[in-house]
Amino acid sequence: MIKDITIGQFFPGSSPIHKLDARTKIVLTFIFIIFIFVCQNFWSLGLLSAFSVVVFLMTKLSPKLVLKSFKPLLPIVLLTTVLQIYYVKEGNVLFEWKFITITDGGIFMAIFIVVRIFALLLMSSLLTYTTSPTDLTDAIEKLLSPLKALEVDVHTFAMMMTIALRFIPTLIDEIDRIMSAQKARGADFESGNLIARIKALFPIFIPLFISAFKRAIELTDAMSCRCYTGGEGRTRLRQMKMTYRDAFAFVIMAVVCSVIIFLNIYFKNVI
Amino acid sequence: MSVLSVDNLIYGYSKGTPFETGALRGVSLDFEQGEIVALIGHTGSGKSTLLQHLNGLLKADSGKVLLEGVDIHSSKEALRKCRFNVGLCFQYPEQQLFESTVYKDIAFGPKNMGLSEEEIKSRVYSAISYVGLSEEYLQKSPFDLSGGEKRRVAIAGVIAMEPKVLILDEPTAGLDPMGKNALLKLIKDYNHSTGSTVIFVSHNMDDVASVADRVVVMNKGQVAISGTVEQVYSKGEFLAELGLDVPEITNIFLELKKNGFDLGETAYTVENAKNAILRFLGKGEEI
Repeated sequence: MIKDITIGQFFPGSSPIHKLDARTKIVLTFIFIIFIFVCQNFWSLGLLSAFSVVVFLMTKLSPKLVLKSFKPLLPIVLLTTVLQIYYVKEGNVLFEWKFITITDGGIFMAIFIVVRIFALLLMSSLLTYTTSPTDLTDAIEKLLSPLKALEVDVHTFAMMMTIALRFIPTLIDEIDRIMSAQKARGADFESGNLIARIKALFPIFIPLFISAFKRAIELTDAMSCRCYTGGEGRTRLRQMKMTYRDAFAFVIMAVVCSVIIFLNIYFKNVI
Repeated sequence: MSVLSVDNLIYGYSKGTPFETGALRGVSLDFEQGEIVALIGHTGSGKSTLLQHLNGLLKADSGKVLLEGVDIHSSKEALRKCRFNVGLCFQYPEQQLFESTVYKDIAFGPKNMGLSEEEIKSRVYSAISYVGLSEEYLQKSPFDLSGGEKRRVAIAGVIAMEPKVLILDEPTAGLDPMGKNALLKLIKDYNHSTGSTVIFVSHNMDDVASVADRVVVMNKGQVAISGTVEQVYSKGEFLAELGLDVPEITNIFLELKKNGFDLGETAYTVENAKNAILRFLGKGEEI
């Protein structure tokens, strides 16, 4: 159950997407997200979604993986759909009953939002699926390095992120282990009312926090023993390099973005 | 009838991936009332996976676990009954302590069983005495105790459910010699006074030889050998092939034999060895 969490997981591969520089991927994902909200009609959104699907196919990842990452968001998607259909009262009325009116405008709107959410989720999960956590944080550190001028401690921030990402699987294993141990003592996590269920979490989280703190102290000791003093004067074993691939990726993204702006102007806006 | 038996268990971790360790490939075993069984095998041989099947935390792909003849997955009640009758104590159980006092932590299991306050109290008191801690520990915070004391409190938490079968996964791992001996004594005493079956995993062959009635050797998800301490440890070469060893004292006896001192039998515990040597020297069993 708890092992199904795939957020932040990395799946090694050798696809063109895997080989892109992590900085390129972050910047392009960011641009993609902005453009999801730039899209104003089905034509532009369709193009952008198609683009994300093409990128996904290029990664050669299993579709199951992506579907799995969609699963936890289904309730949110469902809720937004219902709200959109209920609140948007434009266009032709399709159905009316007491205070509920459903219009075709509302349904279009709901579909639009759902497509947006899925495209957003797909692209951002592709970023973590195809980029190792170390590359990701290295890239973030590089990208944020201009902030050093403002006395922001970018290195420490990046280090914290690396460690946090590194420990997600460890903590998940730990939760699994503690849950089994408490289940062996007859703990019940799956029945009872809300309060009973919340109470049932204490036997998991107290040991979890204790071991997390212990781990943190051990980790800081281990880092100090290896003379870690922070970012000052630290060099890197692996240097990141931009290649023709990255230039190519930027060009493609620029083309897609220009077409989207064109489609936005050319066709009638839905929103 | 065996108190607990497993019949042809097959279970695969992360099926279809190259990481298929800890899988079970057809394990059948019977555990009799009142015996102490040691489970040995090198890392990844499926010991811990097997243990988690015994109290229904894991469900096998095929095969059955029978508690007193009833399939533990046959109904919800059967599974619940199994959780309380087969007490499983994980590796490093001290990491699961969470309550503010030792009393409350030990009472967690009995409380989940739905026992009365009176009954819970008497069980907590008897559990704490089984593990050799005095009653004044009950009001302490479990987090103020030493590692060995925490371990004993955690084991008391399982014992307090008064399981018919007590399972301990590497109970002596990471303890100092004194803590280790105290724990082995605890296992024996508990078994003697309650007549419960005890199953434990260990990597220490000396511990196994001194405590267990029967040894089960696991290899690659299957039972490689199962028998009395003598039966298993007389197959030293086979054990070595599996990456296991015989007790140190047994090695000494084998060396003695090689060098011309045939003591007539092979010893598996220091106690046996002492007697055998004394007999060999013609001094009887006294001293």
